Amino acid sequence: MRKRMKYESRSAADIVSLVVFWALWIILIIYAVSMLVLPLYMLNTSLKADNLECVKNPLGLPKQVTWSNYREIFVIFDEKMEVSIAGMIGVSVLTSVLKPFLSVFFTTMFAYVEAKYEFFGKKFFFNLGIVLMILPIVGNLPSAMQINKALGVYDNLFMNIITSPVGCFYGTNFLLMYGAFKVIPWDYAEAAFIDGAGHYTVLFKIYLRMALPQAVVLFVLGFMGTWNDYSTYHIWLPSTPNISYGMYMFYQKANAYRVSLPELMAGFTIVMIPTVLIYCATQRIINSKFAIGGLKG
Amino acid sequence: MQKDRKKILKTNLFVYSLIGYPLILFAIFYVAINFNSIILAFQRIDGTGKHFAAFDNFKTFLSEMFGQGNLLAYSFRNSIKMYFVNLVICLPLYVFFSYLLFKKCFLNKAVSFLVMIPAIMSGLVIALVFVNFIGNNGAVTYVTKKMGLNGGKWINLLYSEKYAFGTTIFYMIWLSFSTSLIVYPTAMRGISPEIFESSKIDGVTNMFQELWYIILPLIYPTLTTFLITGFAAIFTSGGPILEFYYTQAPDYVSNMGYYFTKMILVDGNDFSYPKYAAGGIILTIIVAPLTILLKWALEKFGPATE
Repeated sequence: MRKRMKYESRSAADIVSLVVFWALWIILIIYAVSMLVLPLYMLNTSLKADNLECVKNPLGLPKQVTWSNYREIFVIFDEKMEVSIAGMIGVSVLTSVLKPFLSVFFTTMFAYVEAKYEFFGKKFFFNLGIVLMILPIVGNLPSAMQINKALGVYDNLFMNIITSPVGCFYGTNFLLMYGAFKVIPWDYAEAAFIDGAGHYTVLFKIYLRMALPQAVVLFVLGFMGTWNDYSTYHIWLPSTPNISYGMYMFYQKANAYRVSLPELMAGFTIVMIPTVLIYCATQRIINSKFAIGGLKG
Repeated sequence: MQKDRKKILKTNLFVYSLIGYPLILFAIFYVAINFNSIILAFQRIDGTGKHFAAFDNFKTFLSEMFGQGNLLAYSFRNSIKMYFVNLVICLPLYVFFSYLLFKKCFLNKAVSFLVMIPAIMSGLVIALVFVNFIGNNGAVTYVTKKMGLNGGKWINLLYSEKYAFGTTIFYMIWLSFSTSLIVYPTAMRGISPEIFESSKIDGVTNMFQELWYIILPLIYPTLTTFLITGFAAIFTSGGPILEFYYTQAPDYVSNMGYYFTKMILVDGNDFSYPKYAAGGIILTIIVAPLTILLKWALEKFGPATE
């Protein structure tokens, strides 16, 4: 009865809104479920016996689960590819840890001083950062190639890693860290200075700890991005492929290597396992800390 | 006085000890690269060395870009089409879906997890699985054959002129929601609950009113950030073309982001660089003022939040 009264008190616009709300909800659910289609297809195919089974019924479950595809792919990979699978995983781990670490570290440092200090060039860098975010530079790849080759950065893993934190005072990561420091009052620092603390102590023992959740989110996202990245290796590091690029090269030559589709899909599944595990462990913190504001400059 | 100076010097030393290294990298890998790109655009490089080419590279690039039926012309047009499809179809959906998640709709946690799958999985892997999924022996073909569509024949969604561009657009839209469905709901959660309470007293009772009068004005800065950076990237984002086709994409699916990468991979030698550098400058000249104009317009004509 109360429910009916509530319903009758609603205007036509409210009812339309409610209908649209639930219609959108249904679309959203269908959309979300559709995200499972490709991963499940990949997983399902990776457990099939051979190509014939995939062709006969690509959507059907495997007649018999063939886990050996996961072992086989390692064997074929090591036999056929110039770089071993262990080497590629090593490159993946090394770059996925070091590149995001350097990038997040220097971005955090830049955001901290921009948010908390008055220094020579402060306004210039901040405004330049805003301009760089909205000023697109298109097609500088040829020039970048020339300079990277001239400086010995091209196809050099070590140089590629240490020169990776280029855009530390602009972009989404900078804005996130800047926002995180901006909301922490400076009173803590003043109290610490009175107690004899220096700038570094205040930064590393007080402010960095408070902004650590945001930094961790950026690191995790950076880790996943670098792990999954293949184009950097394709263009800049052709001799030291990571596992993603290695799998891409392997895919290109799959027919020549006589690799079956289930084996290939098993390889794809292996590539994505680390990022899935990391995301599952950190989903809550990522969803709560990833907020972006405006571009006022 | 001297003490103050010492203090300022100490502060500056501290600050530059933290930001000095990334600034050096920026000077080399951003400033120098773009400066070199400008020089390169006015050069002609051949077996005898480098020569001043005036605007020859620009003329060549422009004539191809505004020509008919060549790779560059397709790439230019497709980039613009892709941006507008994203703006008209994706943006309203991002906002509506984010609203549902913000309102903690039924199964919101499961949805939040599932929509992140494309961001968690390697873009390359997911693209290659998709290629197989719609391929000759893939699941889509299996279903269409069973349904008797196209006379039971395989529809080549990646190479048919009729479907290829649509397939890439569909794929891009399909997998584009991850970041937006984190950022927008988080921005919406930042709005004080008291504002919603008081708006109810003022007669805001349904989803459209809540979105129009409360949420959109208050998340406007986030919205504009995405609009501006999205527009700025109009000629740099390549989409999934490289993953789908490597360097073998048919002209009619190409876009500018893909064009430059492909040219470096296929035609990557010093002799050809000047033309592409000139092309980059032309596109920057087109899109940079428009981006700044868009930012200005969004700020000038945006909603007041008082």
